[in-house]
Amino acid sequence: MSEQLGSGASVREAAVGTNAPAGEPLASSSSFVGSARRLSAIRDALGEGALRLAYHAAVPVVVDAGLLNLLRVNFFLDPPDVLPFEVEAELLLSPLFREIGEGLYEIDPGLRNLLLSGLHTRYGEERVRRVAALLEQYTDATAAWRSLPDVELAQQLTALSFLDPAGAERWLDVHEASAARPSSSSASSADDGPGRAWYVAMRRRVAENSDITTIDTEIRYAGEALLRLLSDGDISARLSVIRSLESLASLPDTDADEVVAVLCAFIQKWDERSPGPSKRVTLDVQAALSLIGSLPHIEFTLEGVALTGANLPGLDFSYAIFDRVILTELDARGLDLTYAQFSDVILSDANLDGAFLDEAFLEFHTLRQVSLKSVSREGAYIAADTIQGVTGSRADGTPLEIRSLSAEDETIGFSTELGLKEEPAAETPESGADPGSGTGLPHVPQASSGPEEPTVRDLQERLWRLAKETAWNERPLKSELESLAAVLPPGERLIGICRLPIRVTNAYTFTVTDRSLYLSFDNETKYWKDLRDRAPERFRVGDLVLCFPLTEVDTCTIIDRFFVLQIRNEPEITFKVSWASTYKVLVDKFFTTARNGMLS
Amino acid sequence: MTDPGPLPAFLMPVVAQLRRRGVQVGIADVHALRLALRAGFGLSSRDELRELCVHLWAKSSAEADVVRAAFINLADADLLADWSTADVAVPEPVRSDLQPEFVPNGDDDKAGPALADAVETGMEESAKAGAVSHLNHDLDFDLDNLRTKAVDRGLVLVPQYPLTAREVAQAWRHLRRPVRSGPAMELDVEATIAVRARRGVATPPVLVPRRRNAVRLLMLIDRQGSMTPFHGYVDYVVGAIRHAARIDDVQAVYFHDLPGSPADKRALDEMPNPFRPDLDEVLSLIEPLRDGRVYDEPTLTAPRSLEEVLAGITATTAVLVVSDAGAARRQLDIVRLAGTIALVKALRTGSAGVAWLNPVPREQWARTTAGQVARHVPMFPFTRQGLYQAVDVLRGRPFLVERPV
Repeated sequence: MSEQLGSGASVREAAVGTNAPAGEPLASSSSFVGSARRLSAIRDALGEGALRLAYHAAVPVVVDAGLLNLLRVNFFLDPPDVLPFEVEAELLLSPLFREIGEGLYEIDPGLRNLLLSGLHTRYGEERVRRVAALLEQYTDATAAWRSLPDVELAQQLTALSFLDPAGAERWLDVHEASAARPSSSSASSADDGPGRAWYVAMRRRVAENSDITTIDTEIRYAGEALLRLLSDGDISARLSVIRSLESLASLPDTDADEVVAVLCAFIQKWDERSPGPSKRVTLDVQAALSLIGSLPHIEFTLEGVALTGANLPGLDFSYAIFDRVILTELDARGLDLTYAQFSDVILSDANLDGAFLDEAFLEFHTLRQVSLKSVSREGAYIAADTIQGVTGSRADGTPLEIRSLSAEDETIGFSTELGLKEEPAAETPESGADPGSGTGLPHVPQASSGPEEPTVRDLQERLWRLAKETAWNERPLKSELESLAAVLPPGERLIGICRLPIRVTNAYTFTVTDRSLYLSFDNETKYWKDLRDRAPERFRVGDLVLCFPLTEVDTCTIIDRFFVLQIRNEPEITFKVSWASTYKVLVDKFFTTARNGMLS
Repeated sequence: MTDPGPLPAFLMPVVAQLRRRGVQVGIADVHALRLALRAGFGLSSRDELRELCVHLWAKSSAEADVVRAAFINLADADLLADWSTADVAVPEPVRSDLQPEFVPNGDDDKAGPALADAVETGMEESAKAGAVSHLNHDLDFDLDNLRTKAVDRGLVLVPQYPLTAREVAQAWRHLRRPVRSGPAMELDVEATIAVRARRGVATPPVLVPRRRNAVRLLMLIDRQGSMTPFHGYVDYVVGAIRHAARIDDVQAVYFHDLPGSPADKRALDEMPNPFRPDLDEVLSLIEPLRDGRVYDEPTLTAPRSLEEVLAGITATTAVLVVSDAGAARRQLDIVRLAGTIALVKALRTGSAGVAWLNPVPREQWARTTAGQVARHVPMFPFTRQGLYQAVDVLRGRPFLVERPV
């Protein structure tokens, strides 16, 4: 029994990696390889409710059918959480539990802390205490563990560790000392009380129990550990953290986007640290990419990253926002890129046969030796500066159209059915000589010289330089600055730019200068139109920009997930912002700076 | 004066919660509560009100606990807040002579739902002392510190299963085979009249023996392994049948997976296609299972021979098998299937009927041994309807199975 108690590999240990050398988490976590898959399998077969019942069953050391029944009776009979009786047996017989004889079941030790985090996240601390109280009362009222004194004691101590952590520690201190004494003096009394191993295991468990946090915190720990392990850990340690993130993501109460954000930050950091743009994707980065592609997510951003040799077949990268990403030797057959937004992406030696590009906005810098056979691209916009050796067709066999950015208004069609392979590179004067189009190239490719007037282009560059002072995931894409650059008076001093995400794929650009606040957008969707029509006529500058003179603005902030702009003598303009707390900091900072500058 | 008027707000949530927990509160019960409230009971405090409902609705101590827990949980939800007891003028508090009827632990009433304010009572002290003496004889563990001394009365410690004991008993009371036996004690009116009419003089009444339920029930119950999660439920149903179904002769024997070693393999060797998931082609070759062991105790400690049990089967014996037949673990085991068919053949000889109850829901039988067994034996899930169907089969009502053995 005590052996099993001790073998639990805590996610947190793997994630935080504080007290363990870098290699150890992998060794100890090998027992829960595939635990994420186990969780998802149970979630699929029995539903989320069953996993939530398992959250509760993670509190005791072991459960029997009676205790599980009481957990359901007490917590899963009233809406919204209602579970039928059958779930109990199915859960006990599922791979989540192991029968250890005498009708007792032990929960997978590698998942225990994970499930407790789930309990904490979904139901809060009060519920944890109630479950512990139930365990205590059940232990008292029935003789369930009477035949196993060690187990009974462990159950009582476990209940106490949730209800009164300090008391449990104190109990251990007192009794471990007194248990050590007689066993050293006489060998016979060693059988009477719990042995040393029991105390070691229980001490560890009590410490873990008093330290249960929410899933968000676990994810944050894991993210921090990943970044730290990049510098002072080996790859296996990072892999084990990614695996524990995968387990976390399979809980029904996890926000998968948090996990995706952590993984993206990891890939960014890896790219920064790794020398040279042509380095190959390592196992851990591949694992991170695979995990991102298998989680349900909304948009996520990678920027300026070079990935060589990534395997992404069949993954889900919908809503991906890739800016200046270099993808080489890419296997991405059947990749789902619906609603993806690419800008200045370099794609070479890539196979995207059968990919889903519906509703995607893909602006490539370079497409070289890319296979795009039978892709589906309903409502997609695909364009590239440089196109070389691209073969492609649509799912129905009709030619695939890729707009060439370097030769305006020229559309190039490919059809493998006809065996046609056009090489428009020769037609575009710069592409051959463009130093940005080779594989070992600067991250920021030079923008192709467009027909716009230089001033607009310059302004856009200026705006972009300012935008880059904001964190990569909080600033707009360069292309989104064009509409503002077209109307911005050249004399204004720029103070700050950030994006204000309003929907999954859309974000307004919020710009503050020493004279005005600007809200702009890059195309005319109905959401933008709606916002624009709510603003008084005099603030509209063109179709895509709203300009509010600072002298007329009373308040500009984010309150309770809503962007609020109060203009003197006008009804206030509001819209809902995702991840509001992040952007509130930026909006407040920019606005206060501008206001102070104006007053002085 | 104390007319409660419209329904108190707490009432419907309490009733809904109780019904979900198997305490059947009907219109008559609610009406009884309103009459009692009108008469002035249960108005002096929330505890009073709670105990009034316990008196009126709970039919066992287990149900009383459930009713109390429901009230405590509602107090958390502030639903009782509008039940302002202070402004209801009560001329006379509830008669105190009602109290002793119930509660030996009347002092518990003041213990609220909160963990913190729970009190040390003498009762808990003694419980603790018992635990100490049980756990530790030599080492002087100070178990006092292992308790929080908090009792959360909002928690229910009564297990709850899909069927209540009452429902089980109701189903099994249909299993009857009335036979007149024993001393003649009952007046046979028709025979008495007939004798009187024939003889024309006063005759002593004709007496016949009382009808008795001659049915004997033999239960073979699978234990351990995949049945472990169902132990509580199966024991509960078996207990209900034993104690409330009014069957005089109930015998329960236990086994694990199968009472005997799997059937002789010869039948399996004869199978023309060894990859078929069924044994239809060799059904007739399988010999009834004779050798084997069953146990009298659920813990499977004291074995006895299966033959002995089989010998006790008579024409009035109804045989019930309780097993998941591999369905809980989704297994299809052809050897186990052969063994099961052999067992059923043995049970069927000479008995009144064989029925099978499977605690695993019917949807999960497909593609398991249970699915195959159900083609040969009437097998039913552990539901109310399933129990009634099983009883019908045991009473002799024909039930069509795909391939009877």
